[in-house]
Order: sequence, then C-alpha cells, then structure tokens
Amino acid sequence: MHEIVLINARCEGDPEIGKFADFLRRKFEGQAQVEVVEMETCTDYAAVPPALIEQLAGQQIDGIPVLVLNGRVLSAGTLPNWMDSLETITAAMRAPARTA
Amino acid sequence: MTATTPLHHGASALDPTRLRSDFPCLASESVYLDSVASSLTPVSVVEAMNEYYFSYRANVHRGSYDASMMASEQYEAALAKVAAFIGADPEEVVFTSNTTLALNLAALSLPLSAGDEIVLSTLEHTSNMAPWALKAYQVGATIRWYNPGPEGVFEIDDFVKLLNERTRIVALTYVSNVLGTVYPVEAIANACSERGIVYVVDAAQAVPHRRIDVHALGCDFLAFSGHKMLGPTGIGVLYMKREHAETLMPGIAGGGTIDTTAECRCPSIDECGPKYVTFSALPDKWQAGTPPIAEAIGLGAAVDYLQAVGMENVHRHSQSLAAGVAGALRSIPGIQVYGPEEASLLSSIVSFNLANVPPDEVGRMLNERYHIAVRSGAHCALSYFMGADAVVDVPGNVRASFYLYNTQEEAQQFASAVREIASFCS
Repeated sequence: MHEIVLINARCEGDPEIGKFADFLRRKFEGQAQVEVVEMETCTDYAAVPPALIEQLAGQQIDGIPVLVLNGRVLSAGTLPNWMDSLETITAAMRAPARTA
Repeated sequence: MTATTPLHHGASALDPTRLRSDFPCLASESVYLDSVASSLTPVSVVEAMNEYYFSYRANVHRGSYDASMMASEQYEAALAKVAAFIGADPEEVVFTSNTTLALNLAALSLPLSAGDEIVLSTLEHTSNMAPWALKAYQVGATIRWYNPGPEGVFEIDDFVKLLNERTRIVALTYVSNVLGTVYPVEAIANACSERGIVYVVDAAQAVPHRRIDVHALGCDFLAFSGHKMLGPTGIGVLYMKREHAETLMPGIAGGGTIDTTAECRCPSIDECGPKYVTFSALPDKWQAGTPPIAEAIGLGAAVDYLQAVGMENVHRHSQSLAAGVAGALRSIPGIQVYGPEEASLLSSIVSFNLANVPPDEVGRMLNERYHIAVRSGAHCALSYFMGADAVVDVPGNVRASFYLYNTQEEAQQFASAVREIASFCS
C-alpha cells in the first residue's frame, strides 16, 4: 500500500485540499492511503509527524502545499492540477523505490 | 452529444472564421472564453489609437495648433459615435475609466438623504453594489435587496413590491455577469418612472452584446466599459438623461467642468464656491480633467467594428453558442448549470459547477490541459455567492463566455473538455 501525504497550512495553503484528498482516495482506492496534514501556520511543524519530517529531510521544499508519495516530495508550493497529479503519482508509484 | 453535434442554438448570420484574423490574440491555439471579463481587441482599434499617438498626439480642446485641433476633432467624433451607438445625444455621455467609475460618478452626483432607500438586486457586480453601499452609509440611507433567486429570473411583480415612497434610486444590472440572465429594463424603467425613482442601469454586459437605445429603454443612467466591447481598457461610459446632466451638480469636478470663459461671479476668492460657478456646456460639465483621448478614439473604432458586423448578429451568435453549450453541459452527469434553461432569457454566458471539484480547479484543468481560458470564482457577485444571505450555497462557479469571434468548433471543444474532466473526476 502506497502512502500519499498532503501537507497544507491554513495561512497559505490550498483551502480546497480536502476535496483533492477525497479525489485521490477515490482514484487510488485499494492502492494508497491518503492523509492530509494541516499545519496551523506555515512554520508550525507540530502537526507533522516526526517520521515524516525525517523522510523529508534533505528534500527541496519550496513552499506549501506539499504532495508526498512514500516519503518522496512530488511537488511543493503549488499542487499540480488534478489530472496532472494523477499522472505524476501513478508514474511515481511505478518508478523504482528510492534507496536510502 | 458527439463531437460533430452543432452547438449553435438557432441560426446565426455571423461567420466568426472571417473575423478571427482581425484579432491577433486568437492566433494561438488557445480558446478564449472570457470575453465577459474582457473582450479581445481588433487591429483596427489598436491602429486608431496608434494613429493618435504617432500622428497627432496632443490634448483636446482649446489648443490653437494643428495636432490639438485634430485630436479634438477625432475625440468629438468618437464621442458622437459612442453616444449614437446607445441612442443617446453626445451631451448625455461622459467618459470615465470604466463601468465602476461611471457608477461611482452617478452615486456621487445623485442627491440622497437619511431615510431614503436604494434598491439593488442580489445579482449585482460589486461595481454596482459598493458605490451605493458607500453612499447609503455616508448619508444614512437604506439598501433594499431584490432577490431574483438562484436562476436569476426577474419577476417585475415581486420587484415593484420593494418600491415605496422612500425609494429614490434603483440600481440594477441589465445582464448578469454571473448567469447571463437579462433583466426587463423597459418594465423596470416604467415602474421607476411612474414613481419618480431614478433608475441606474449597469449595462457592462449588455452594450457589448445587444442593440441599446437608452431613450427607448427609459432609464436615467446607464454605464458600460470599453474593454468588454472590443475597445481598449481604461475607458468607460456614463449615459445620463439630459435633464439630469443639466440639473445635477457633478460628483467629480475639475479642469474642463467649469466654464472659464464665463464671468466670475464670486464676490471674493474666500467665498468661491459652487453657487457662483458656471459649469461648462454639456457634456464637458461632467468630463473632469483630460479625458481618455486615445481610448475614446479606440472605442469609436470598436463601435465601427461592431456596427459593421451588426449588433443583432453579435447577439444571436453569442447567445446561440452559449445556449448550445449550456444544453450540452446539462447532459453531463455531475454538472450543475446555473441560470434558466430558456435560451431567450440568456445572453452570452454559461456558468456551472462540477460536483466535488472546486471551480478554480476546473478552470485550471481547462487551461493547463485543454488551453481553454475561462474564469472561476465569485465573479465579483458577492451577494449572490457570499455572506449569510448568499443566494446559492457555493462560493463560486466556472464561467465561460462567448463573443463574436468564438466558433462553433471552440464551443464543441469546450463542451468536450468539460465532459472529459467530469468523467475523470467522477
């Protein structure tokens, strides 16, 4: 099972991220778990699980919202449109897993 | 619907393919369906403005040299052309920078007292809401709202119930910028006239699409913008009935509005004030400061273009494309089309939502995946979409709008794209 995480912030994130998460849940039903991490502010990482922070360490994150698949940042700052997102995530799921 | 199903809803004598080469912006592969926000500009409009800037660039009026006289001549000709386009006399027309400024000028100029009432509708653009809200706040007047419902169908019998002895101003749109629904302007004008109420029309979405005769309509004021009718940005028009133009004191004054050739009647400079002023002859009384000269000349060229095509043709073409697309979208599962199904009640606009997909996201997919330009959001119709008394329970929708240069193929392309997006997102 893949893991998709959407990191959002109330200050400058995507106010409709819930609908996007629902869309991804529909499209990847049985293939991926989709979770939304909602930060109170753009610099308040308290809501982000420590394990995820560890996974994201060293990756380029230019802004919020962030789309993460299996610990790998697929986009940051602006989410791709829903059609592009589906293609991006599907392609990334098929790509060989990242080695530590 | 198949890809070859015609989306023209009725006959249209206009052939957009013959017009498109006049619009350089259409050379790209993208489909432009946002003319309600701003139309595209034909070459002839830009050339007319260029000629002014390159050949006789000077200020108008009172210049005693060739370029200024030429500029004055061309400006006056454009003013006369624009006035005639709406059936007005040149003395009844003043240029502003857009519809918003035109409506503000009307609001600033009309007398109003505490306890007076202004009637607006819940479909108004902010341009025709904010100036009156500000005015009401400043003088202690009350705004009463006519709600034509989510479909935007105006019922005159319901509307007149809002009018009473305290009603001074009715300010309503002619064509809704959200739904494309058309208000019955003549009937409203009659209702206002019978009661001595001033009727102000926001015609920003009407003048670009239909033949208008302000005297026949019977309104007191009517405002519109150049940039929605093939003209340049930065110019709007306020028509005011001659009696208002003559008797009201202009809400904005400055250079040109005062007759400097008239004898000064002020007893002293300390007592200088409006009661001693001789205003300029119409329409200069209302034209404060240097007018938008190049823009007026450009708007005159836009009027020439529209008249050459024929306003009846423009209206039928845009309306038939919109009605055809609205019909096609209504057949797509998950799509909600706003506005009435009856084509005759509509103008050039189709607005819709796709279940569970934010309107901005639909707009983004149309742009990024299909190169189709539409607008999404609340379209500045705050009272329709927002607040505790919002007419609909969504914060916005997607709006496509059609104009004389849009083709049936583009309409089909758009409907197909929406169908694909709806299927994809389901």
